[in-house]
Formats: sequence, structure tokens, C-alpha cells
Amino acid sequence: MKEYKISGIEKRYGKKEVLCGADLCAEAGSFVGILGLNGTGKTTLLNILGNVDRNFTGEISVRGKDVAYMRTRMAFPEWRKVKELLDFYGRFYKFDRKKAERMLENTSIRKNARLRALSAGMQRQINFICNFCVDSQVLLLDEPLTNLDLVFRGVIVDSLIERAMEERVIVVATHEIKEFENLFTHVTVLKDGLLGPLTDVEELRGRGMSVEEFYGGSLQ
Amino acid sequence: MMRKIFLTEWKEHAFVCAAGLIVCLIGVIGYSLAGIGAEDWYRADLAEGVFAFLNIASYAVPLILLVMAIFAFRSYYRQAGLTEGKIVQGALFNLFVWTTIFLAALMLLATAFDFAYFAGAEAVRGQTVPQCMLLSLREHGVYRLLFAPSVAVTMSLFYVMYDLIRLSVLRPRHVFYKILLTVLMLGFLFLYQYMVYCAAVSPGILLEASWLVPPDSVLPVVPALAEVWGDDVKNVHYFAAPILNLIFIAGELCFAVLYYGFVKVAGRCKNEMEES
Repeated sequence: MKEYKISGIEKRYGKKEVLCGADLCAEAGSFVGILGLNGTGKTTLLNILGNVDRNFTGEISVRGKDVAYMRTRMAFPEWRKVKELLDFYGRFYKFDRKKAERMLENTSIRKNARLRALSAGMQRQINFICNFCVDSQVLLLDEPLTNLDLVFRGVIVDSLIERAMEERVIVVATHEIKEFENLFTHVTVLKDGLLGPLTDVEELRGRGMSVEEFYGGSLQ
Repeated sequence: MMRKIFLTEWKEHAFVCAAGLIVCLIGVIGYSLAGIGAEDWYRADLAEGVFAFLNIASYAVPLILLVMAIFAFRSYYRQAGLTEGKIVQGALFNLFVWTTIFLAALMLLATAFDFAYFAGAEAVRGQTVPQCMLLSLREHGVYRLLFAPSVAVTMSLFYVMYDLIRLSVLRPRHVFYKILLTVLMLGFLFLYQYMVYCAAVSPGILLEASWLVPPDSVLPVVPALAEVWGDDVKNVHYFAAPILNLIFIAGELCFAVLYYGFVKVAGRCKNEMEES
């Protein structure tokens, strides 16, 4: 994959238009931050890109098992065990199970634990580990740091730094700009159903501007 | 892909089947204990109760499995890039396999009860109404095991009909067309299945002209066996399809073609991923 391209994504909930022609074109190796206020449609957009929601118009260059998607809440039934979740990923994705098990060993999550027995933070951890260990062309992360303790936040950021070296596109929708400030290669702001132009973070830095300042300016 | 879906969902299906069998086993043991030392007529009554209980289970558990199949449209499959068609195939496969396994196990349980309860008490068995021994292989012979795949076929047909109605509701944009298409679909499904059933189990010009044995047999291609067992699946179990009746097979194959054609024409959903 040379580039990850989405064009003209439109989505309505009844009469309310949430997305009205979102476009994005990111080269392989990009780390894209999607910024925006609550309710602007970030999760809706990621659900579309992650093939969860198919009721939309527009085009997406890569979908399905080539896209790993960490949702805010796992769709996998909570009465199932962590081991079964790993089995599921192993069956349906190109999944590095050994790596996932190694990462799990560094957490307090047991493989035999049921998902419902895990705290919200632990569920986020296993959610991240599973999607991170999928060998996909695109990795989508929706608010990846929510509910996580400082230690695992560090694990996520470090893991993403490692992965940023690879030829993949990582798309993160987040409010935690500071934590990803040094990872973003591009950022875009979702506002009024439209994605703003993809802005090169290096260029911003060259202008002496931080991502947070850029975001603040975009909202005005 | 069906195998992958089967492996992902086998535990909940196995749980339902095992729970159904355990409840039946508890019922069987309870009734059996209650009959110890009782008079023959009372023991015969209890045996009828057990058989009735097992018969109810043979309807209830397949229906539960059907409901589970209906709710098998899970977003984590979509997220993993499975098309709706593949998900439906997986649900159908699960439904067929687990219904067959459950019914076969239930019939073995009924048979074991038949042998154990009436051991040395043929007089009690003589007072028991034979019609209630629907699932007993002792009563009907080993060919009665055909019930298992036969009920599974009916459940699969129910699921396909549900899928057609679901698409009739989902595909049109306007409410009027949704209602119209759904009503037409319901009418078509009822008439079609009724017609196939009548053609399969009733004597008629078509059957008389064919090389099939009389239609009260589920074994049309083995006339000798059919005469021996004289079995009509459909008449004794409402969920059992006459699966060895060639008219039924031909009718349902046509139905499968119509189903496939409708799905192709109507489409399953917007922005469906292409089959890989």
C-alpha cells in the first residue's frame, strides 16, 4: 500500500448530517491525528473506516481485515475469555500471537480471565494489544488512552513509536494531544462534518507552532 | 470461513445443547425414581410424561438455536472484513450442525430411557401410548435418526426465510415499499413452502408418474426399507422435513436458487466489501 485514501465520506443519522464529504490521503508510514470537539463525528468516521458502519457514501481504499481498529468499547462479547479473544484475532487477522502474549505478560491480565471480569482500563489494554499485534496496513485508534493508567499510557506510546517506523498508516482520534505530539506526522481537524486539510506537523514545527496551538487556531 | 465462525461460536452452542440434555436427563431420572414400586398404570403414565418432556425439548432447543443464529450478526465479524453473506453462511452451518447433534443425542437419551425404564416390564410398556415414543430408536428403528438432520434442515429453512424477510425490510428505502415487499415475501414464502410440502407428502399425478415409492416414506430411493419402516417423518414431528423425498429436495433446491437470486438482485447492504 502506497497511500491510504478516503474520499467523499458522507454519513447521516436521520436528518442530521454528521459527515459531509470527508477526504483524506495519507502516505504509508504516516501517523495521522484526527482532532475535533466532542460530537463532531470522529468515532463515526472511524467506525466507517473500520468497517463497523457500512451505511455511508464515499470511497475507502483499504477495508476489512487489512485494517485493525481499536474501538472505544470492544464488540467482542464480554462473557468470553481473553484467550478466546486472542484465538479470534488469530483466526480472522494476520495476527502476531506471540507478541500479543508477550505484551500480556507485562500486564496483570490473565489469559483465562473473562472480559467482563476486567476493569475498564484492563479491557482497553487487551483491546490495544490485540489490535496493535495485527499485521495490518492501517491501524485505527479511537481515544486509545482513555481509562488507562500512566504506565500503560507509556506502553502504548512506546509501542506506537516502534510501529511508526513501519510502512503503515496509523490514524488516531484523540483529545490527548500532548501525549501524541511527538508521534504525529500529520494532523487534521474534523469540524462541521468536514475534515480539514492534512497538515504536516514538521511544517508546523518549522513555523514554531505546536499541534495544540494549531488545533486551538483551527477551532476559532 | 464457516469453519472459523464455527470455532469462534462452538462454546455457546455446545452450552445450550448440553444444558438442554442435562435438563432432559434430570427429568428422566426424576420420573424414573418416582415410578419405583408404583403400579403398572402409574408407571406407564410417568413414561408418557418423560417422552412428552423429551418431545417438547426436541422443539424447544432447536428454536433456541434458531434464535441464536438470528443474533449471530456480530459487528466483530464485520470489523474483521467478513461479508454479510459469509456471516449468514456461518450462522446456517452452526444451526444445522448443532441442531443435528442435539437431536441425535436426545434420541439416544430417549432410547436409553426406553430400554432402561421398561427392562423386565414389558407389560408397562404395553400400556404406554406408542405415539409418544416419537424419539425412541427402539420403537422406530435406527432410521429414526433421520429426525436429527431432518429437523436441522427445517431450522435452516426457517433461518433462510428469516433472512429473506430481513432483507425485505432493510433493502427498500421508503416505508411503503418496505411494507409491500415484506407482505409479498411473507405470502410467497408461505405459499411456496406449503406447495412443496403438499407435493412432497401427498400422492398426486407427479408422484404416481415418478419412480418414487409411495409418499408416506422418507426413504424413496430404498423401497424395501421404506416398506419395512413405513415411516413418515413429517406427520409425527412438525419440525422434521421429508429430507429423503426427491420432490422435497427438488423444491427446496429451487427455493435455494430463488433465495440466492433475490440476495444478488436486492443486495445485502450498502458498501458491502467485495468477496476476497
